[in-house]
Amino acid sequence: MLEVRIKKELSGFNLAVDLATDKEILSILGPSGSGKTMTLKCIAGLVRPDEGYIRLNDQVLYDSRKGINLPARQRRVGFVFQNYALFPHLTVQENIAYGISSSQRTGVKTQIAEMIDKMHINGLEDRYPGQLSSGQQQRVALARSLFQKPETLLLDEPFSALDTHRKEGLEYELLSLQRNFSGDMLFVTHDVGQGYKMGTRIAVFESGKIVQCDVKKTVLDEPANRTVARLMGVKNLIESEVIASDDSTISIRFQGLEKNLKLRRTKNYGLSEYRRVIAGIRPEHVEITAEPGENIVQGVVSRIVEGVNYASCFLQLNEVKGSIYIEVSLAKADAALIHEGQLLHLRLPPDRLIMMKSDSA
Amino acid sequence: MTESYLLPLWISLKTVAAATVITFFLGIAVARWMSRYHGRAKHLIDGLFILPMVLPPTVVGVGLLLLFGKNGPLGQLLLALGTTIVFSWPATVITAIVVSFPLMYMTARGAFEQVEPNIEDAARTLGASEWKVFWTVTMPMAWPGIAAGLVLAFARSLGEFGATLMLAGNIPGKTATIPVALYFAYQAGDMNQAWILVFITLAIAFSSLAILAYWRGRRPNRKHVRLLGARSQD
Amino acid sequence: MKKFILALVSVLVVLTSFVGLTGCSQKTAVNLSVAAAASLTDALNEINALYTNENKNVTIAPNYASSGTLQKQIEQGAPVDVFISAGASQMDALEKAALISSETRKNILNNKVVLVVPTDSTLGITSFNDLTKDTIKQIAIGDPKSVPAGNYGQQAFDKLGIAEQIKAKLVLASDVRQVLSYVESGNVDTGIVYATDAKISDKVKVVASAPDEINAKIVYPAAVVKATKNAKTAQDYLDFLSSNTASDIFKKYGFGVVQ
Repeated sequence: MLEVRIKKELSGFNLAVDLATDKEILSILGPSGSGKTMTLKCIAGLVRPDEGYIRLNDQVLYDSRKGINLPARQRRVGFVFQNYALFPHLTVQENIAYGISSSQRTGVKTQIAEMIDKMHINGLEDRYPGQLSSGQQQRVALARSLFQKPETLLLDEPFSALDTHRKEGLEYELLSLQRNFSGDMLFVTHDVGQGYKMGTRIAVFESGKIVQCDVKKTVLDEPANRTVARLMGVKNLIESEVIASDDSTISIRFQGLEKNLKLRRTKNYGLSEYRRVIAGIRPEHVEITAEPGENIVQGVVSRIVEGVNYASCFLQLNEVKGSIYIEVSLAKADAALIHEGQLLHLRLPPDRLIMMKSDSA
Repeated sequence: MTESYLLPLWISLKTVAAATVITFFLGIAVARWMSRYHGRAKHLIDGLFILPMVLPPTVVGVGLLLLFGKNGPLGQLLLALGTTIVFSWPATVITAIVVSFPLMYMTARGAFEQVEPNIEDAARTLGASEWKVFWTVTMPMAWPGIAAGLVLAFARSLGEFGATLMLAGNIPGKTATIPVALYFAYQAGDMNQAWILVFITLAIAFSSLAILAYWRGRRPNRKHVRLLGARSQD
Repeated sequence: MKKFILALVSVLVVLTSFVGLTGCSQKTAVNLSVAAAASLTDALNEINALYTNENKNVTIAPNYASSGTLQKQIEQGAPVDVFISAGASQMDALEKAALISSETRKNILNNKVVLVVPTDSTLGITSFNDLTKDTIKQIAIGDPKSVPAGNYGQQAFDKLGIAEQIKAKLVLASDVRQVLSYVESGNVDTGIVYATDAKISDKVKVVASAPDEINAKIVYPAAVVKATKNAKTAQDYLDFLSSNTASDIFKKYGFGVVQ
């Protein structure tokens, strides 16, 4: 159980983090420079916050009011660095055994052998980090941290330097490792798909604060703001106004579009009428339709881009003062049937429209 | 006759050995401290440490005399304790340290600042005390730079003349190092003596270069230090 | 055209002869390089000023150092016109190497070797023999191998039989002025200098004189260097050193003048 409530003034922004984890993988996402790594370093004891409280299981690691600040070496926190930070002058074995003090040396050899086996790095015991591939280095870095039996493992973009094929292999290995790991893992990544795969919960950072921390499905379906939405792939984000709301539905209007769109209420938003919000919908949820119905908008195709697995079609809504673009994902076969300049009707299903607070809120 | 060149050799070896050992530890300690000190006066203090390197040796000599001479602050202190530094063997060691320290300090600092902070941090998360981090991670990684500094310091101490002559003087058998003895031998027209001393100096210089080359070759060096992956932005 | 050239040439001839005439009425400018032992610094500076005052076409470039150093410089071909040594051996070496004009060599001065201490010294030294006492830690002396004053000092030690005992206390200097400054600074207990050196400094006092047999040997030979380009002026200068005016100045500084 890890509890973190810290504040730190940095150049550019102020860090103010409040999170707790319990025997899970928490994926930490967010733009570069938003404070993710700094938070990990504070938890590990490598950087000192200005004020706050950090507790790991039964040990208080940091408490500014009581003047407690355990040095990194006394915290049972493991850290896997972005570029592995292996000791280049020590062999793989020596790297793994680094944390063992001389008094504990007996019996260590067998334990190291077990760890090497577990991490699938057999045969590399006497090699130096410079002689290993990045995937192997990654495993050694993990082995080294796990060998200390930490109660929490912090991973800072551990797979960013690997190619896709290796990345997936290691992701699954880490997931199975976690099952046997009795502590928490905090996993910082800029790869949203990876973070989604790995974590049970997701925390999204922005400018030093956590703007949403929730079970991953919730973050996916109900992003809290524009940043989270973008991160989660909600590419269509449109400034809107709330017109009316009742228990089950909310009526909104895109700014500049004199048309009411219905949105299925999934939670208590706590918003009043005429309140500015951002409406969002995933490109894959927008339907091209010829039939009339509710939530239909019209648009002219401005561009069609063919991707690897599907095509993206960009339409400009034409009943709008100003310009609003909607991106639609189509099967490639379907995309072949339309062309630029064509007028299409789009249906935005009420149960797929998402609403979140606007940037100024 | 044998005495006249063995003595300066003996004195030079004593002086250089003592000075190099002291400069080594002092230079490393100060470099370590300075690489982590981020106060306002950092540049000023840095300049002070490097000063003896840019000043002419005679100016250094004058400065040391002012400090350690009969009327200088340290000189008076030593007098009260019953000793004096001027024209004594310790003076050769002091001048050697003063002129070689900047070299050791600068190269050591450069070497420390090149060590990736993440690697030192990794050691800390693995339970290492600051002392252990320094000796088992920082020093081995900084070693090539430090070894270079050591050689520079050694060479500088060996060749130190101007300040040594001023502070320690020429006392054959006590403070006459090889450079001093060489100068006076030449002055006196004793070319045999002079050439022997030149030859001895060359021999020492070449053997130290050979030792340095051997040391640097032994360590797991550059090819093992290369690491992959970009630095984190956060 | 012819007339023009004729006029031009005549003007040039007039101009050059004018210059030539005025040139003839003055002597050509001479820069005299005088290498002299360090102990002569103050006396010679005064004498040189007098000489250049009377001989306005001459400028003197003095070079003061230990006689040994100067000897080496002349051997290496330094452009010296006149050499005044504080010891005979240096001049002998140059004469042997035919680097000086033997016929111009003459002894011009005497001096004495003395023992000095800082004026505020409380060590109570009254003779050379006191040097063996434990209270004397350091004795500054010019390197006997290249500094005549140092050499005479060493001879004094040998004569008095104290050389071995005090050997470890000797701090060798590269010239006699340096010995003086060592003693003045108080960083050494005592030093061997010439009486003339002691005289110019008020920070030291003389406490003893070297044995007479030693002092009697001290002569300052002077000579014109053979390679000189200013032989006439050099000889003139050398003669001036023996003049009454110069002798008075030397005596003022404590030198003995050879008659």
